[in-house]
Amino acid sequence: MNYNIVVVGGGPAGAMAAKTAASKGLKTLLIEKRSSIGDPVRCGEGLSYNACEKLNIRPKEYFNKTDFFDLISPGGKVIRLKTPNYIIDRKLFDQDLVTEAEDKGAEVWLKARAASIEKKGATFRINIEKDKKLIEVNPEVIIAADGVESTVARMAGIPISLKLEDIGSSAAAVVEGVNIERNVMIESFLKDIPFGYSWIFPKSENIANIGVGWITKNGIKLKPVDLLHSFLKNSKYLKGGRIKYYTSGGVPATLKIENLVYRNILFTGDAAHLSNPVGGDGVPQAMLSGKLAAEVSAESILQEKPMILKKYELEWEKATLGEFCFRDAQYALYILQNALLTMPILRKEEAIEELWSMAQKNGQYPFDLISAIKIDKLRPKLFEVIMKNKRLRNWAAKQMLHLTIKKFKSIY
Amino acid sequence: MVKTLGTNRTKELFMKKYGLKVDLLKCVFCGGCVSVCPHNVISLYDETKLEINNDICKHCNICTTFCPMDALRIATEVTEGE
Ligand SMILES: Cc1cc2nc3c(=O)[nH]c(=O)nc-3n(C[C@H](O)[C@H](O)[C@H](O)COP(=O)(O)OP(=O)(O)OC[C@H]3O[C@@H](n4cnc5c(N)ncnc54)[C@H](O)[C@@H]3O)c2cc1C
Ligand code: SF4
Ligand code: SF4
Repeated sequence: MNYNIVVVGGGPAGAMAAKTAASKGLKTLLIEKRSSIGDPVRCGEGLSYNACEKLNIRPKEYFNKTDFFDLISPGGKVIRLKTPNYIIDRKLFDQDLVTEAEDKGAEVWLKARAASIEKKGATFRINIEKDKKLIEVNPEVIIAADGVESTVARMAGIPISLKLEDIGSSAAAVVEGVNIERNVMIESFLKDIPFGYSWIFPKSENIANIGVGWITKNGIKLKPVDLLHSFLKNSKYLKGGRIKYYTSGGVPATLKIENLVYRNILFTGDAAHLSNPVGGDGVPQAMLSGKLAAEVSAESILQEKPMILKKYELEWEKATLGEFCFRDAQYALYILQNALLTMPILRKEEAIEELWSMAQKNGQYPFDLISAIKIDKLRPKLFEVIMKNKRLRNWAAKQMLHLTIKKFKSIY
Repeated sequence: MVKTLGTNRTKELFMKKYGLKVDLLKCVFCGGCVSVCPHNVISLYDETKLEINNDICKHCNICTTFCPMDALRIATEVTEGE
């Protein structure tokens, strides 16, 4: 059987990749191991309004638009941002995206799993398990959009397992019968758990996606699921809420994998660890990377130049430079998170409260690297984290250059 | 690879017998444990099937520490085993 492109995984990254590839006229196959797309949901379902604008996503009837975003510090300081967001239905959202890919001509196989990846010459081919049969496919390009498990990378022999300090563990659920404001998204940072946070994202008048999560390597014996249950029992807004279904899971809280391209495999979305370390949002990054990967693949396949695939890495860099909702947020937040995580508890708490005070004054997101640099107790830690890691050093240098050029342009 | 030192070996055999177990009533099949295991022990076949290859598991507790739903345990008490 032959296809130009095989996309592994039917999440936002895979769906965008398949849609883009098919619309360029490539023979595209998307495989998803589950029996239906998007089910079960593993997401808090918050989607940035800005990212939607950038990615040309029109709101659907199952989007709930919120106008305010409340950020609550461990000490109880509240910042109310006037930032619009959508709370979506991830199942319907993913299904719609895959349907769009099918409309463009992509073939979609459900209950079809990438079972092994084999190296033949300079490229990889893929064995797909479907209905207990193994089907060998030899595409020009494989797009790995298989989410946090990253089985494709494992099978290709790339060591990719996430260390406990590089993954957030979240217990979450869609809960019915809660007393919330439909217009306000809430994220609170927890007091006794280093870098733990909780969210309440309203889906309608009385249904919300509620979750708690933290970086596991913090010595806390408590499990996210226990804290979630205790929230539902004790919080005055959530008391009496009934769990409809769980949406728990793991979110990469690290930097993107070093190489997005490995021979003829292109990594996208969570499989490439593109989500944000603080907050864990990853849907916009997944969609953008899927789109870019497919565009570069199309160029490479149509011109019969396999070497062009490498360009995907550059395209990602280019598309995300200076874009807060994509790459630069990841670096900035990674630096901040690591600086805070390695500080003594008391100093850290003070630093976080200071970040909140500054953000309250400026009406901005509290985890902001530029503000953080102004905080005396945080500054040395930030530099320490940056200096220790080559990729962070390079990023910081590029960022300075970018800012200088921007300033220069605005003056002349 | 079986270590030959007395105590370690007993420990290893014991672990092997009871091994890493998943509580399917708690597991939500999120795949997080797959991504943290450094030894490719766990596989998630679809939204209902999680497989643990106890023969290669190092019982290092990384996955059990991660699991948000508290669904993984290394069974070390006889009562928890078969
Ligand atoms: C609790 C939680 C809350 C979150 N909250 C938010 C949020 O509020 N906002 C936000 O933007 N992001 C959030 N995220 C992150 C977001 O869910 C992910 O970043 C996003 O789903 C990544 O998309 P993806 O397409 O890369 O992977 P996924 O959506 O994970 O899709 C991967 C797909 O590949 C399939 N697959 C895996 N292996 C194979 C295989 N071998 N063969 C075939 N198919 C395979 C899987 O079944 C899956 O369907 C949250 C994550 C979690 C866990
Ligand atoms: S991390 Fe826990 S809930 Fe998630 S798949 Fe593994 S055992 Fe199941
Ligand atoms: S105990 Fe360690 S080796 Fe065994 S499955 Fe868990 S993480 Fe992997």
